[in-house]
Amino acid sequence: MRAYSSKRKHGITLTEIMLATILMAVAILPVVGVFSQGHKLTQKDMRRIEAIHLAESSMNKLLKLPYNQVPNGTLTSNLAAASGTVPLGNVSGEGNATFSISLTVSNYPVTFAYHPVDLNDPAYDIDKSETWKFLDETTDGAVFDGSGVHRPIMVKQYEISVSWTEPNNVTPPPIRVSSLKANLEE
Amino acid sequence: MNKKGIAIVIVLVFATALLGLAGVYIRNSREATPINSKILERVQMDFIGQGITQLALLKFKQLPSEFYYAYNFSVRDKRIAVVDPWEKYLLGPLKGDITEPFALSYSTKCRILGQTKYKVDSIEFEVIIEGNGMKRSIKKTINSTRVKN
Repeated sequence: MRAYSSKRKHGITLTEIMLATILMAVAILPVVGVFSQGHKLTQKDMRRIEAIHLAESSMNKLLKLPYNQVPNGTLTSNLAAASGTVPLGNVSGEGNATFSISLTVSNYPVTFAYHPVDLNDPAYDIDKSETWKFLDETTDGAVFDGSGVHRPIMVKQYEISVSWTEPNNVTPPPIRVSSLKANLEE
Repeated sequence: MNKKGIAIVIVLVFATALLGLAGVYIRNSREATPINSKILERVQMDFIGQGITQLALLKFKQLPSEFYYAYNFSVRDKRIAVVDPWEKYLLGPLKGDITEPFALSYSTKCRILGQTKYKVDSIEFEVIIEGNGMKRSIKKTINSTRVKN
Protein backbone atom coordinates (compact mmCIF):
# COMPACT_ATOMS: atom_id res chain seq x y z
CA MET A 1 0.00 0.00 0.00
CA ARG A 2 1.27 3.36 -0.93
CA ALA A 3 1.85 5.64 1.91
CA TYR A 4 -0.16 8.82 1.90
CA SER A 5 1.99 11.79 1.17
CA SER A 6 1.29 14.79 3.25
CA LYS A 7 3.09 17.00 0.77
CA ARG A 8 0.49 19.33 -0.82
CA LYS A 9 0.20 19.24 -4.67
CA HIS A 10 0.51 22.71 -6.17
CA GLY A 11 -1.58 23.48 -9.30
CA ILE A 12 -4.00 25.97 -10.83
CA THR A 13 -6.93 26.59 -8.60
CA LEU A 14 -10.45 27.12 -9.82
CA THR A 15 -10.31 30.69 -8.53
CA GLU A 16 -7.23 31.36 -10.67
CA ILE A 17 -8.85 29.89 -13.76
CA MET A 18 -11.98 31.97 -13.26
CA LEU A 19 -10.02 35.15 -12.61
CA ALA A 20 -7.89 34.52 -15.68
CA THR A 21 -10.94 33.87 -17.82
CA ILE A 22 -12.60 37.08 -16.62
CA LEU A 23 -9.43 39.08 -17.32
CA MET A 24 -9.15 37.52 -20.79
CA ALA A 25 -12.76 38.37 -21.54
CA VAL A 26 -12.29 41.94 -20.35
CA ALA A 27 -9.27 42.28 -22.63
CA ILE A 28 -10.79 40.56 -25.67
CA LEU A 29 -14.17 42.30 -25.77
CA PRO A 30 -12.82 45.81 -26.54
CA VAL A 31 -10.39 44.31 -29.04
CA VAL A 32 -13.23 42.55 -30.84
CA GLY A 33 -15.14 45.85 -30.78
CA VAL A 34 -12.19 47.69 -32.30
CA PHE A 35 -11.79 45.12 -35.06
CA SER A 36 -15.50 45.18 -35.77
CA GLN A 37 -15.47 48.98 -35.98
CA GLY A 38 -12.36 48.79 -38.15
CA HIS A 39 -14.10 46.39 -40.50
CA LYS A 40 -17.03 48.80 -40.82
CA LEU A 41 -14.65 51.68 -41.54
CA THR A 42 -12.84 49.60 -44.15
CA GLN A 43 -16.15 48.81 -45.84
CA LYS A 44 -17.02 52.52 -45.75
CA ASP A 45 -13.65 53.41 -47.28
CA MET A 46 -14.13 50.78 -49.97
CA ARG A 47 -17.49 52.24 -50.91
CA ARG A 48 -15.91 55.69 -51.14
CA ILE A 49 -13.07 54.38 -53.30
CA GLU A 50 -15.60 52.62 -55.53
CA ALA A 51 -17.51 55.90 -55.88
CA ILE A 52 -14.26 57.65 -56.87
CA HIS A 53 -13.55 54.95 -59.48
CA LEU A 54 -17.08 55.25 -60.88
CA ALA A 55 -16.74 59.02 -61.16
CA GLU A 56 -13.32 58.66 -62.81
CA SER A 57 -14.52 56.00 -65.24
CA SER A 58 -17.64 57.96 -66.25
CA MET A 59 -15.66 61.16 -66.74
CA ASN A 60 -13.05 59.38 -68.88
CA LYS A 61 -15.80 57.95 -71.10
CA LEU A 62 -17.50 61.32 -71.26
CA LEU A 63 -14.34 63.17 -72.29
CA LYS A 64 -13.88 60.76 -75.18
CA LEU A 65 -17.25 61.70 -76.65
CA PRO A 66 -17.30 64.39 -79.33
CA TYR A 67 -18.24 67.85 -78.06
CA ASN A 68 -21.55 67.97 -79.92
CA GLN A 69 -22.79 64.66 -78.60
CA VAL A 70 -23.07 65.83 -75.00
CA PRO A 71 -26.18 67.95 -74.38
CA ASN A 72 -26.42 70.66 -71.76
CA GLY A 73 -28.41 70.02 -68.61
CA THR A 74 -28.51 67.43 -65.86
CA LEU A 75 -28.58 63.78 -66.80
CA THR A 76 -29.42 60.98 -64.38
CA SER A 77 -29.73 58.08 -66.80
CA ASN A 78 -27.31 56.58 -69.33
CA LEU A 79 -25.99 59.00 -71.90
CA ALA A 80 -26.19 57.08 -75.16
CA ALA A 81 -24.26 59.00 -77.78
CA ALA A 82 -23.43 57.97 -81.33
CA SER A 83 -19.87 57.08 -80.38
CA GLY A 84 -20.37 55.54 -76.98
CA THR A 85 -22.42 55.27 -73.82
CA VAL A 86 -21.63 56.86 -70.49
CA PRO A 87 -23.16 54.91 -67.60
CA LEU A 88 -25.23 57.24 -65.44
CA GLY A 89 -28.05 56.69 -62.95
CA ASN A 90 -28.08 53.86 -60.43
CA VAL A 91 -25.16 51.47 -60.53
CA SER A 92 -24.80 48.46 -58.24
CA GLY A 93 -21.49 48.20 -56.54
CA GLU A 94 -19.82 45.57 -54.44
CA GLY A 95 -21.31 44.78 -51.04
CA ASN A 96 -24.91 45.61 -51.98
CA ALA A 97 -24.14 49.33 -52.28
CA THR A 98 -26.00 51.29 -54.94
CA PHE A 99 -24.35 54.36 -56.39
CA SER A 100 -26.20 57.12 -58.12
CA ILE A 101 -24.22 58.87 -60.87
CA SER A 102 -25.40 62.17 -62.32
CA LEU A 103 -23.90 64.48 -64.90
CA THR A 104 -24.34 68.22 -65.22
CA VAL A 105 -23.23 69.91 -68.43
CA SER A 106 -23.07 73.69 -68.60
CA ASN A 107 -21.63 76.35 -70.85
CA TYR A 108 -18.20 77.65 -69.92
CA PRO A 109 -17.53 81.08 -71.41
CA VAL A 110 -13.89 81.82 -72.21
CA THR A 111 -12.03 84.83 -73.52
CA PHE A 112 -8.51 84.62 -74.87
CA ALA A 113 -6.24 87.63 -74.85
CA TYR A 114 -3.22 88.01 -77.12
CA HIS A 115 -0.84 90.53 -78.63
CA PRO A 116 -1.24 90.63 -82.42
CA VAL A 117 1.65 91.47 -84.70
CA ASP A 118 1.30 94.66 -86.75
CA LEU A 119 1.15 93.18 -90.24
CA ASN A 120 0.81 96.65 -91.77
CA ASP A 121 4.12 97.84 -90.44
CA PRO A 122 6.41 98.60 -93.42
CA ALA A 123 9.33 96.80 -91.82
CA TYR A 124 7.33 93.63 -91.20
CA ASP A 125 8.88 90.47 -92.60
CA ILE A 126 7.31 87.16 -91.66
CA ASP A 127 10.69 85.40 -91.62
CA LYS A 128 12.48 87.97 -89.45
CA SER A 129 11.20 88.13 -85.91
CA GLU A 130 13.22 91.30 -85.26
CA THR A 131 10.79 93.13 -87.57
CA TRP A 132 7.69 92.04 -85.70
CA LYS A 133 5.97 94.75 -83.71
CA PHE A 134 3.45 93.48 -81.23
CA LEU A 135 0.36 95.62 -80.78
CA ASP A 136 -1.55 96.16 -77.57
CA GLU A 137 -3.35 93.27 -76.00
CA THR A 138 -6.70 92.43 -77.53
CA THR A 139 -9.40 89.78 -77.40
CA ASP A 140 -10.68 90.38 -80.94
CA GLY A 141 -12.07 87.20 -82.43
CA ALA A 142 -11.31 85.25 -79.30
CA VAL A 143 -14.36 85.81 -77.11
CA PHE A 144 -16.48 82.68 -76.74
CA ASP A 145 -19.19 83.62 -74.29
CA GLY A 146 -22.31 82.88 -76.32
CA SER A 147 -23.28 86.53 -76.55
CA GLY A 148 -23.49 86.58 -80.34
CA VAL A 149 -23.14 84.67 -83.59
CA HIS A 150 -19.44 85.40 -83.73
CA ARG A 151 -19.00 84.66 -80.06
CA PRO A 152 -20.30 81.09 -79.75
CA ILE A 153 -19.83 78.93 -76.71
CA MET A 154 -16.85 76.70 -77.43
CA VAL A 155 -16.29 75.09 -74.05
CA LYS A 156 -18.55 73.03 -71.82
CA GLN A 157 -18.07 72.15 -68.22
CA TYR A 158 -18.79 68.58 -67.18
CA GLU A 159 -19.47 67.77 -63.57
CA ILE A 160 -20.04 64.21 -62.43
CA SER A 161 -21.45 63.51 -59.01
CA VAL A 162 -21.60 60.09 -57.38
CA SER A 163 -23.71 59.65 -54.28
CA TRP A 164 -24.64 56.62 -52.20
CA THR A 165 -26.18 55.71 -48.87
CA GLU A 166 -24.36 53.91 -46.11
CA PRO A 167 -25.97 50.84 -44.45
CA ASN A 168 -26.84 53.03 -41.44
CA ASN A 169 -28.86 55.29 -43.83
CA VAL A 170 -26.30 58.09 -43.63
CA THR A 171 -25.61 59.80 -46.96
CA PRO A 172 -21.94 60.86 -47.17
CA PRO A 173 -20.94 63.94 -49.17
CA PRO A 174 -21.05 62.99 -52.86
CA ILE A 175 -17.88 62.50 -54.88
CA ARG A 176 -17.61 65.30 -57.46
CA VAL A 177 -15.22 65.60 -60.36
CA SER A 178 -15.33 68.24 -63.05
CA SER A 179 -13.53 68.94 -66.27
CA LEU A 180 -13.81 71.02 -69.43
CA LYS A 181 -14.35 69.97 -73.01
CA ALA A 182 -13.59 72.35 -75.85
CA ASN A 183 -15.12 72.26 -79.28
CA LEU A 184 -12.02 71.37 -81.26
CA GLU A 185 -13.93 69.74 -84.09
CA GLU A 186 -15.14 72.86 -85.87
CA MET B 1 9.30 26.51 -7.78
CA ASN B 2 6.14 28.33 -6.74
CA LYS B 3 3.76 28.52 -9.73
CA LYS B 4 0.96 30.18 -7.83
CA GLY B 5 -0.66 32.98 -9.85
CA ILE B 6 1.19 32.13 -13.08
CA ALA B 7 -2.12 31.99 -15.03
CA ILE B 8 -2.85 35.63 -14.24
CA VAL B 9 0.59 36.66 -15.40
CA ILE B 10 0.12 34.77 -18.67
CA VAL B 11 -3.31 36.30 -19.24
CA LEU B 12 -2.00 39.79 -18.53
CA VAL B 13 0.79 39.27 -21.07
CA PHE B 14 -1.74 38.06 -23.67
CA ALA B 15 -4.12 40.90 -22.89
CA THR B 16 -1.32 43.46 -23.28
CA ALA B 17 -0.33 41.91 -26.59
CA LEU B 18 -3.92 42.05 -27.82
CA LEU B 19 -4.28 45.69 -26.79
CA GLY B 20 -1.04 46.43 -28.62
CA LEU B 21 -2.42 44.81 -31.75
CA ALA B 22 -5.63 46.79 -31.42
CA GLY B 23 -3.60 49.99 -31.09
CA VAL B 24 -1.69 49.24 -34.29
CA TYR B 25 -4.95 48.44 -36.07
CA ILE B 26 -6.56 51.72 -34.99
CA ARG B 27 -3.51 53.69 -36.10
CA ASN B 28 -3.53 52.02 -39.53
CA SER B 29 -7.25 52.71 -39.94
CA ARG B 30 -6.70 56.39 -39.14
CA GLU B 31 -3.91 56.62 -41.70
CA ALA B 32 -6.03 54.97 -44.40
CA THR B 33 -8.68 57.71 -44.51
CA PRO B 34 -6.34 60.59 -45.50
CA ILE B 35 -4.89 58.39 -48.28
CA ASN B 36 -8.45 57.89 -49.46
CA SER B 37 -8.91 61.68 -49.62
CA LYS B 38 -5.64 62.06 -51.53
CA ILE B 39 -6.92 59.65 -54.18
CA LEU B 40 -9.96 61.84 -54.78
CA GLU B 41 -7.90 65.03 -54.83
CA ARG B 42 -5.49 63.52 -57.35
CA VAL B 43 -8.36 62.48 -59.61
CA GLN B 44 -9.95 65.94 -59.33
CA MET B 45 -6.65 67.64 -60.13
CA ASP B 46 -6.07 65.42 -63.16
CA PHE B 47 -9.49 66.19 -64.62
CA ILE B 48 -9.11 69.91 -64.03
CA GLY B 49 -5.69 69.73 -65.68
CA GLN B 50 -7.20 67.94 -68.67
CA GLY B 51 -9.83 70.69 -68.86
CA ILE B 52 -7.20 73.43 -68.91
CA THR B 53 -5.38 71.49 -71.64
CA GLN B 54 -8.58 71.70 -73.68
CA LEU B 55 -8.53 75.49 -73.26
CA ALA B 56 -4.91 75.61 -74.42
CA LEU B 57 -5.78 73.54 -77.49
CA LEU B 58 -8.77 75.74 -78.26
CA LYS B 59 -6.70 78.91 -78.00
CA PHE B 60 -4.11 77.41 -80.32
CA LYS B 61 -6.80 76.32 -82.78
CA GLN B 62 -8.44 79.74 -82.78
CA LEU B 63 -5.24 81.79 -82.79
CA PRO B 64 -2.55 79.70 -84.49
CA SER B 65 -0.69 82.64 -86.06
CA GLU B 66 -0.61 84.52 -82.78
CA PHE B 67 0.71 81.38 -81.10
CA TYR B 68 3.58 81.05 -83.58
CA TYR B 69 4.42 84.76 -83.58
CA ALA B 70 4.61 84.91 -79.80
CA TYR B 71 6.45 81.59 -79.43
CA ASN B 72 9.01 82.24 -82.14
CA PHE B 73 9.66 85.77 -80.96
CA SER B 74 10.09 85.01 -77.26
CA VAL B 75 11.12 81.37 -77.04
CA ARG B 76 12.81 80.39 -80.30
CA ASP B 77 14.55 83.70 -81.05
CA LYS B 78 14.72 84.82 -77.41
CA ARG B 79 13.90 88.43 -78.25
CA ILE B 80 13.11 90.90 -75.54
CA ALA B 81 10.07 93.15 -75.69
CA VAL B 82 8.56 95.55 -73.17
CA VAL B 83 5.64 93.15 -72.92
CA ASP B 84 6.59 89.55 -73.50
CA PRO B 85 3.94 88.32 -75.99
CA TRP B 86 4.52 84.67 -75.12
CA GLU B 87 4.16 85.25 -71.40
CA LYS B 88 0.93 87.12 -72.10
CA TYR B 89 -0.28 84.36 -74.40
CA LEU B 90 -0.10 81.86 -71.54
CA LEU B 91 -2.17 84.00 -69.16
CA GLY B 92 -5.94 84.30 -68.98
CA PRO B 93 -7.71 80.98 -68.66
CA LEU B 94 -4.42 79.16 -69.12
CA LYS B 95 -3.07 80.32 -65.78
CA GLY B 96 -4.83 81.07 -62.54
CA ASP B 97 -6.30 79.90 -59.28
CA ILE B 98 -9.49 78.08 -58.47
CA THR B 99 -11.20 77.42 -55.16
CA GLU B 100 -13.43 74.47 -56.07
CA PRO B 101 -13.21 71.61 -55.19
CA PHE B 102 -10.29 72.97 -53.15
CA ALA B 103 -7.69 75.71 -53.51
CA LEU B 104 -5.61 75.03 -56.61
CA SER B 105 -3.27 76.99 -58.82
CA TYR B 106 -2.39 76.06 -62.35
CA SER B 107 -0.22 77.22 -65.20
CA THR B 108 0.38 76.16 -68.78
CA LYS B 109 3.64 75.53 -70.58
CA CYS B 110 4.13 74.80 -74.20
CA ARG B 111 6.96 73.81 -76.48
CA ILE B 112 7.32 73.03 -80.12
CA LEU B 113 9.10 69.76 -80.74
CA GLY B 114 9.67 70.32 -84.43
CA GLN B 115 12.25 71.75 -86.73
CA THR B 116 11.77 75.00 -88.56
CA LYS B 117 12.73 73.50 -91.92
CA TYR B 118 9.78 71.11 -91.79
CA LYS B 119 6.21 72.26 -92.03
CA VAL B 120 4.91 69.81 -89.43
CA ASP B 121 5.36 70.48 -85.73
CA SER B 122 4.65 68.45 -82.67
CA ILE B 123 3.38 70.85 -80.05
CA GLU B 124 3.39 69.76 -76.45
CA PHE B 125 1.04 71.47 -74.03
CA GLU B 126 1.68 70.89 -70.36
CA VAL B 127 -0.62 72.00 -67.56
CA ILE B 128 0.90 72.02 -64.09
CA ILE B 129 -1.60 72.03 -61.29
CA GLU B 130 -0.75 72.40 -57.62
CA GLY B 131 -2.73 72.28 -54.40
CA ASN B 132 -2.93 70.57 -51.00
CA GLY B 133 0.75 69.68 -51.18
CA MET B 134 0.34 67.83 -54.47
CA LYS B 135 1.60 68.67 -57.93
CA ARG B 136 0.26 67.09 -61.10
CA SER B 137 1.37 67.51 -64.68
CA ILE B 138 -0.95 66.85 -67.62
CA LYS B 139 0.61 66.73 -71.07
CA LYS B 140 -1.01 66.67 -74.45
CA THR B 141 0.89 66.58 -77.73
CA ILE B 142 -0.63 67.45 -81.08
CA ASN B 143 0.69 67.62 -84.61
CA SER B 144 0.34 70.87 -86.46
CA THR B 145 1.01 71.76 -90.06
CA ARG B 146 2.26 75.26 -90.79
CA VAL B 147 0.87 76.99 -93.83
CA LYS B 148 2.17 80.39 -94.81
CA ASN B 149 -0.63 82.80 -95.79
